[in-house]
Amino acid sequence: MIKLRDITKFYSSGFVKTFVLRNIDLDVREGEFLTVMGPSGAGKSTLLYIIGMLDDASEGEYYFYDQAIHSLNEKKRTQIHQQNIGFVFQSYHLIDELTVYENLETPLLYKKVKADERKSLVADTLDRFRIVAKKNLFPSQLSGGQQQLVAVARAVIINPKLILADEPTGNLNSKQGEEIMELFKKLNREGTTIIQVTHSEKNASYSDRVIHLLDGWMEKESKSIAGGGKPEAGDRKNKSMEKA
Amino acid sequence: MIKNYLKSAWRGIRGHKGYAFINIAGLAIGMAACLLILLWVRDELSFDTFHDNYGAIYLTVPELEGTKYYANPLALAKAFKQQYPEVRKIARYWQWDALVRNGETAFNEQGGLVDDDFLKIFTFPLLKGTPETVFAARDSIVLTERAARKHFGTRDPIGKSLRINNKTELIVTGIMKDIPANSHLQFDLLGSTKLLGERGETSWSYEANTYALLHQNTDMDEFRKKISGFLNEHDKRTKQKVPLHIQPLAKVHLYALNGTDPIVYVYIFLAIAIAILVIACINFINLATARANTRAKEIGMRKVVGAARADIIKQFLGEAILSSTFALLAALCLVYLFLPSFNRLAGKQLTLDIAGDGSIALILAAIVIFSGLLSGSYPAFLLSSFKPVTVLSKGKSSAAAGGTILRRILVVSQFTATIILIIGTIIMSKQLDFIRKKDIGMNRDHVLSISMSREMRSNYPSFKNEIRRNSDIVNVSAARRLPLNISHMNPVFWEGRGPENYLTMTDASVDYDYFETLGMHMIQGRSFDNKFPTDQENYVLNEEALRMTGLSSPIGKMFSIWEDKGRIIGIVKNFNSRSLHSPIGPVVFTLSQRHGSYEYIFVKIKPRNLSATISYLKRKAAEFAPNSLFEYSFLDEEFNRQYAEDRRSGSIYRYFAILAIFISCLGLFGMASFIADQRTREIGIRKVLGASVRSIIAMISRDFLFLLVIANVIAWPLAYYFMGNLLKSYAYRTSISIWVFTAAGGVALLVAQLTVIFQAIRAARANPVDSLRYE
Repeated sequence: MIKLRDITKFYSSGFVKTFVLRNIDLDVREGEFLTVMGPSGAGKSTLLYIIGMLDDASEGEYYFYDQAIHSLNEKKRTQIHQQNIGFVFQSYHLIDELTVYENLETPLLYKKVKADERKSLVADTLDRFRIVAKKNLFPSQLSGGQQQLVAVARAVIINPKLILADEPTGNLNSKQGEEIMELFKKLNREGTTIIQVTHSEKNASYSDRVIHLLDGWMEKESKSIAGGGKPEAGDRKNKSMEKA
Repeated sequence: MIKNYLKSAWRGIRGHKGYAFINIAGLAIGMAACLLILLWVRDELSFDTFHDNYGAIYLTVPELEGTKYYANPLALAKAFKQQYPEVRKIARYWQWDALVRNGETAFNEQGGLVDDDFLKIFTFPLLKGTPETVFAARDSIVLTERAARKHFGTRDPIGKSLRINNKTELIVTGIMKDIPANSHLQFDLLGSTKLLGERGETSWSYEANTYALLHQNTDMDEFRKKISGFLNEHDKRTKQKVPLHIQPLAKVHLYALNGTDPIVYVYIFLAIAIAILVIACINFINLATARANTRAKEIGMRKVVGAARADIIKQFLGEAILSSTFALLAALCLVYLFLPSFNRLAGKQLTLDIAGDGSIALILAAIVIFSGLLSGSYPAFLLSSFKPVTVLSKGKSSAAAGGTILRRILVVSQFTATIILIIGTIIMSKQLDFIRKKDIGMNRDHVLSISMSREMRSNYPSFKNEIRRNSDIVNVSAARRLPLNISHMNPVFWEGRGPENYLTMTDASVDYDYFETLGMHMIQGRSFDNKFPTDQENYVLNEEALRMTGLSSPIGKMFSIWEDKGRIIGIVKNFNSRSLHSPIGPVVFTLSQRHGSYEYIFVKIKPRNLSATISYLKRKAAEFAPNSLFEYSFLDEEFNRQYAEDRRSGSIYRYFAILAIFISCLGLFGMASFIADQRTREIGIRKVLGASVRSIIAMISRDFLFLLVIANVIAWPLAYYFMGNLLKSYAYRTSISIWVFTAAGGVALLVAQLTVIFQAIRAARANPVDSLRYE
């Protein structure tokens, strides 16, 4: 599904080049749940944004379902992004001026989905995430966990093939965090490819595979069990794999 | 989709009321001002366009001594039409101001004597009567509805008679619609030129406006060439060249025959309208880009969920157009509110009829789209270029920094325009003041001018003798024209220059004591004196006339108007016989009434017992001319009336300059408050490090003051150039001194500083702990 070859990202200021990513090669299969780990400033988020087509690589090639993303123009890229990718952020990033309902509706508007279809999709999603009662509230009226729930719902509503999550539980307490991770797991089981960036070993343990970044280099690749997650997390992992 | 945009725009407006208020109020005021000016401009451009033959009507314009006139020889029209097949119809308009009496009631009316084709050339619709028949009889008179109501009330005036100037009985044969305000011809009654008699057909005296309706396919260049020599072909009295020109009706109102065209004011006002609207739009742009930080997150998020750049651009343009629509609604309320005062100010009867007038709706739509696009496009362009990565990952970013330079440029241009307007306002009022105080060579204080009826004309000598006995009356004289409006040209020659080489000079028929009554000074010789009976044939020249003759010792030399030979007995100091827009021309004074009889009595009175003296004069006038109206005015009022137009534009100009300052400062206020907000953290840190309130105020103000200084540097030379050009329309003009510029710059600086300092103080006095806790 995703094929990165020799992806490099740097910022030039004056004569100094600051490298954020160096020669990344990465393949992600459809249906995979991948975790990107590493210390702050390692380039995790940048990698996520490049995969999400929100940012360009300075060098290298990026194929999304065999489409050469690196050679497409912005308009075409927006189109692919719009059809296939949902984003979830650490700080939710809902639009403050819009209600829950309207926030969910926005991606469908940009996708130019027809009004009646839009209505039923939003209704279904509200139902599925059990936030029907909150549909007319504004983000500022919700708790952090509820906001992130809405954010996930918004990412999911376009039925994306790929969900990219940047520290999705970073601002949540552990119980809320767990709920969100369970949700991701469930979506993954239903077939959605998920790539998450996190510091948390516990979150990483939900995934099939973990890659580590350090100073822009991809260090090593490991199955999450081998990555040294907590035993019980590993157990759960195995169980879910058995199920799958 | 649009609903989604509208929602977020509307909630954005509600959520940031102060910001939205500044934007919308500024834009509304700008639009209202712009709309008023556009209505004014539209009215100016609409003059005479209501005539069906608008494009095909021309006026013949003779040129004497380099000056063009609308007055044509009476005999020109008939010969002109005979000679040129291009002329379909021709008609004269002879100004005819008449005392109109119906039984006991009498009013002075403005009117004209016209040829039969007048109503066929022009579209002045008749309510009663037909253009073919109303002037069939010599004693016909046609009234406007207004005049008919005044003289006859609700009765039907057709067939009734009116007594004109206590002399002629005329029969009402038609009623016409009132003359629209945007007609250069203004009258309440029309008579027939047949009343002029034999003279009206044969005289080559320059008296009547002449309007020719030409065939549509006339080659104008060719025609102009053909008619140029017409007057010399027909009027053989002189060898001097008198070229004949032709002026389209379309140019009568906005183009002057000589000197500055009034259309200059249209351009100036249009420029002001656009400047004010642009200033208001700049506020919008500035505040929108200053607020970019706040909006950045939303834009980033919209892009993440799939918005293309075009979607974001559409959204921001939509918001701008929504805001400008709100602003327009507010502007319309303002216009309805202020239209009556504006009409008073501008001396117009403008209306804003949205439903009934398609072009108004067009103007409104144009204003909304213009200001929406202008104010929305830069923010749309800037904000849509944000990369979601930058704005989302780094939290509060320096995303708005990109707009800083542009914002500065915009503030500078705003204030440049404002300062130019202030300088213009000061110079205009300085010029008007200059006119009021200028020594015009006569003393016009406490001089009453009384219009003279025929009846009074015959009793004038005894009237004069009678009122001279009143001790409150200093002097009495009479003349054909007001001394401010002497414009009756005749050919003159003198010792050493024969009649075949005549020049034209303005001649003034005056009574004894004229110079004394009006406080004019003789610089050579003496004034008219009834001890010398030959003075009836003698002449007094003004300095300018003397200069034209080139005579070195003029007293006693022969001088002649037409065939009336006499001698020069005195030279009077130059005085301004016309408005100060024009230089002093040559004037010859004569006691003779051969070229026109007296029409005004001048009475110099003592300032004490003013009202008693006036009622005394009224009583005496009724004694000597019982059938006439007593109409008087003060000469200084007449003088000021000449500049009514100038004062009007001066005060319109002033109001709009004040508006421009206000809108600019509104924007500055918004900018200052945003910058103060943006720098909250910096200010907090500085305060923790020991900065005083004063140093922080200075820090915030410094930026703005620097921009204002630059604005001044740009505005001064531009203003100097513009105003220098504008003042050229006055022959006598005030100086453009440096204090005007420093004053305007000072005012702008002061007002701007006051605006900014409020925000600066607020920011500087905030508790640093509060602002730092955010991070």
